[in-house]
Amino acid sequence: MDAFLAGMAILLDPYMLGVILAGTLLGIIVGALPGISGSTTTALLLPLTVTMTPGAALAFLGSIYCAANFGGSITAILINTPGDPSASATAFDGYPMAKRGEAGKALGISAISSAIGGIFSVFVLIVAAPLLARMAYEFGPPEYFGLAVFGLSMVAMIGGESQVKNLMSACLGVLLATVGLDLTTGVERFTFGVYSLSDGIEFVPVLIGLFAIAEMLEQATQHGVVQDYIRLTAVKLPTLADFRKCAKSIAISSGIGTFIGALPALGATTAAMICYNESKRWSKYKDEFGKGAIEGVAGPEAANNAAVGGAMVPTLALGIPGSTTTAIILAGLIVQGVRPGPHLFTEQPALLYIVFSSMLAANLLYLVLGLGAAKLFARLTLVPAAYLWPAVFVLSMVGAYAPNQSMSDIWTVLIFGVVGFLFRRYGFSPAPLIMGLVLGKMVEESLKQSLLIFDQNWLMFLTRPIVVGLFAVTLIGLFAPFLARAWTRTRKRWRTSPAGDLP
Amino acid sequence: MGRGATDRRVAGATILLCAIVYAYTYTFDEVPAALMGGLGAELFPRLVLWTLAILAVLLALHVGSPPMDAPAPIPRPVWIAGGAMLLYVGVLELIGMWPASAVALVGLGWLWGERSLVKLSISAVMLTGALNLVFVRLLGGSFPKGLLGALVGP
Amino acid sequence: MTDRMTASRLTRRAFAAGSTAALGLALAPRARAQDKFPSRVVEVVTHAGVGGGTDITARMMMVHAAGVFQTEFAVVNKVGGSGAAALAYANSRPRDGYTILLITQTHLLTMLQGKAPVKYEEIVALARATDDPQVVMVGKNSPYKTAQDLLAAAKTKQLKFGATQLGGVDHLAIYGFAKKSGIQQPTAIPFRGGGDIVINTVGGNIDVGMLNYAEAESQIKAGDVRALLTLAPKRLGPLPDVPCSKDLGLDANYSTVRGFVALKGVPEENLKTLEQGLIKAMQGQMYASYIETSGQSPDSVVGRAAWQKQLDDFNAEGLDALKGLGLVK
Repeated sequence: MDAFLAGMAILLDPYMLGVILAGTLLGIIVGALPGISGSTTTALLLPLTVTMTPGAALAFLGSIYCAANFGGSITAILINTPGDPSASATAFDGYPMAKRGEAGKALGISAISSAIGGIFSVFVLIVAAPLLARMAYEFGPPEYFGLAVFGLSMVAMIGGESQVKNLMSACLGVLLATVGLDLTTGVERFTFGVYSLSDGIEFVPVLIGLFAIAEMLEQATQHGVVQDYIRLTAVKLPTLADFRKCAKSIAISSGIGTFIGALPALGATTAAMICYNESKRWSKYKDEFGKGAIEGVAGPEAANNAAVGGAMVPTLALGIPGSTTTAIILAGLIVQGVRPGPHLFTEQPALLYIVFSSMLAANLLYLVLGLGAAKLFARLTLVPAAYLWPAVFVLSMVGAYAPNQSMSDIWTVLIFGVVGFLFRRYGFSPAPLIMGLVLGKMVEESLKQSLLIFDQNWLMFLTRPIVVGLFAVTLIGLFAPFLARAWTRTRKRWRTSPAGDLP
Repeated sequence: MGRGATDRRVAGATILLCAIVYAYTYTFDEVPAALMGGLGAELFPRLVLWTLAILAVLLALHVGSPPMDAPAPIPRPVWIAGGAMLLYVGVLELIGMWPASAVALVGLGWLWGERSLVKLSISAVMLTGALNLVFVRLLGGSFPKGLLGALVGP
Repeated sequence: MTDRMTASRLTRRAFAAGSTAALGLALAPRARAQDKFPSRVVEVVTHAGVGGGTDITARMMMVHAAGVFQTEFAVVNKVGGSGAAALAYANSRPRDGYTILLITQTHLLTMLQGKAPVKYEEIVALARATDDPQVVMVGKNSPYKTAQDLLAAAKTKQLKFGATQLGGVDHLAIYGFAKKSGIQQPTAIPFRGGGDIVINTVGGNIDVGMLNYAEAESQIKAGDVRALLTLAPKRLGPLPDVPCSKDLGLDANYSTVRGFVALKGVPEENLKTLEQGLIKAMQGQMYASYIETSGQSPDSVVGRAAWQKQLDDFNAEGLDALKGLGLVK
């Protein structure tokens, strides 16, 4: 308890508060810019943190990490360009909301749900990190296979009206995920001798192409059409009623997001995808999804920020980072002479609580900044198209090139811009494709690893309780709508039949 | 063209794509026998291709997917915008990323209907400068300088 | 303003090592290029993306390099093709010493398989940056308590080893270790990274994990993982009770190494300047503490001669192993 209070006390220190504020602001900016993510920034700033005190360094890196995941949603909502891969699910409904003139509402709910998800996960981290971390050991390839199948099971329902088209889009995504070196055989697939394809298709350029460039081409079809944004509502923030509508989605997503983040092999992007599915599954307003459902923004945003706290669990408690950013934070810890592991919680609690309190503070700070600036940001949707879309284009190109400094990423953007444009033209949605791309690799790799472990005996999957559980949940999820319909029908018959039987 | 013809064309294109990619899977390197422990590299992609092809047939038959109307022909501004994007890559290779970006901002803005070159130029320089500040000055990224840049630079 | 000039601004600003105005540097390089080497930005090419292990090593070296060389350093990340993209980029630059590579054994394997535009003979060693011995580890519930247990059992049973990439550095180490210790060639189960291997070693999905000490440090301390054998000629400092391969009479030494190289053709005096400067930069306090705290061997940093020999040895053994596995004809 003393350590906890001492950790919280740093928030009274103006220097520490300044560091956290700087980290949060920087995090929001780099998160919002496509091409520079929280991980790139923390890597580039790592040498700088070496000169700081351990506490300040960790507070700085931690607050960048928290804020960057929120920042990604800003551009996803406003210009259909996820600033961070983890915000791709946010664009599915966030951008339609902005187009409808509800940018302020979308940004506001994103800030609120991000902060709730983030703060929830920090509390889980404080209370249950060592316990939750042990769970990671129970997750081998078979369990990840079960989880990936669960994640993909909802894919037919996501995206457009036509389930067949959604599945086709997902298949294309899974197919794209097979590009590159096959992990279990070392064979290069579909790389055509291009070096940068050997590690697989880069996710960020695909996103930028499918969303930003496709939208730009779409805008070109509207050439000369007067933009009829409902200007007055564009800057309105969400109301209490909006928040109530999202409460369930935020609660579910905070929990699932923290859990998925805590699994070392999965990160914020997967968490956001799965929680987008779950938000729709549990929503009363399923029809709104894909057309600007406020729950479709709240769910993924709560999830990807909850995954931040979750990802810190194995990093701190096991010394195993679950994402690039946590790997860098781990490096930062190690350079500062802090050795992560179960003992960290007993040996150096003071430093640990500095991490916790700075993450809490960062979550609160971006909530305040995000809500405060939402009205300002929302005005971006009012910028004339002749300035907005060329700027989006240039930002996309620079952002696509920056992480790997490779021209092939620029071509990827352009190619997927055309793909995205054709997709819309023929009634396909990019959402299942992205889901397939994120989860497809995991399905194949974990399946092949599992079979190697099981000596190619498929039945061995049934000896793993977690896998059986995940399969069961998947099946229930798939058939629940039919069962529910059958149940209502039976009940109706049961209600009406006695009356009919009476003489 | 009647309703559904579009779906059949989409399905046809998908199946053609599947066939080409499927043929390509035969060119994968062979795995040495000593390493071949489990499922081959080509198996999973082929499975996905089969699924995709079957779904395409369902689409053509309108099973689980309502027939869609033929979309309007692609308007000319889209072709122009697409061409401008390709041009950008060419210009980029020639004069470098930052100058090309400034040019693109002016050019695309003009295409989008803004006629004041002064306003476009000022905003282009400001935005390129701001991006340069973040990506290069602050984060130390390096960007293509183009043929021209190679001649001038060291 | 050229882009490369500014690339390591960050580190420079942070440590105020090189105070030369960047503008002056940008305008002057041609005039001064002949005077003194290095007089403009030196590019460090890595195959890792920003934030990858090798990238971080490069950036840690650069903390001091700007001061030592009195010039700026810039990391160039050329990701892809298991090092082929980085080698191709270096190959496209003039061989004047202004482009150096930070390589791992992966680059050598890529060259051996003929997948890079550069041949091994064109690689000139400058200085080694890190040396991280592989340690054979098993999970807490494993029946193998000592290295002898494991070796005895593995003679009659095909065990499952975790590796990071099929035909990669780990896999070749497993192959070589099995060959030299006379056990059955294990099934290599590939994972995405060291962290996954640790988890599956603890979880019992694989029999053995071949890992660097730092990757499993917290599990070793917590008793979840048992280190059985260090594949090095010397015992590791943090693992004084774990035998090394020499203790068991094995000539099986495998480690994960990173080091700086240039391509053949760089003038000899520039190579010397680079070697001495790099070593000096890596003796800086920041780099030393990075080496120590990330669990690397304390004598990681060595000069050209020793580093070249290690590369030669690995290249020869790598070729044997790739042939043995059928990956090279």
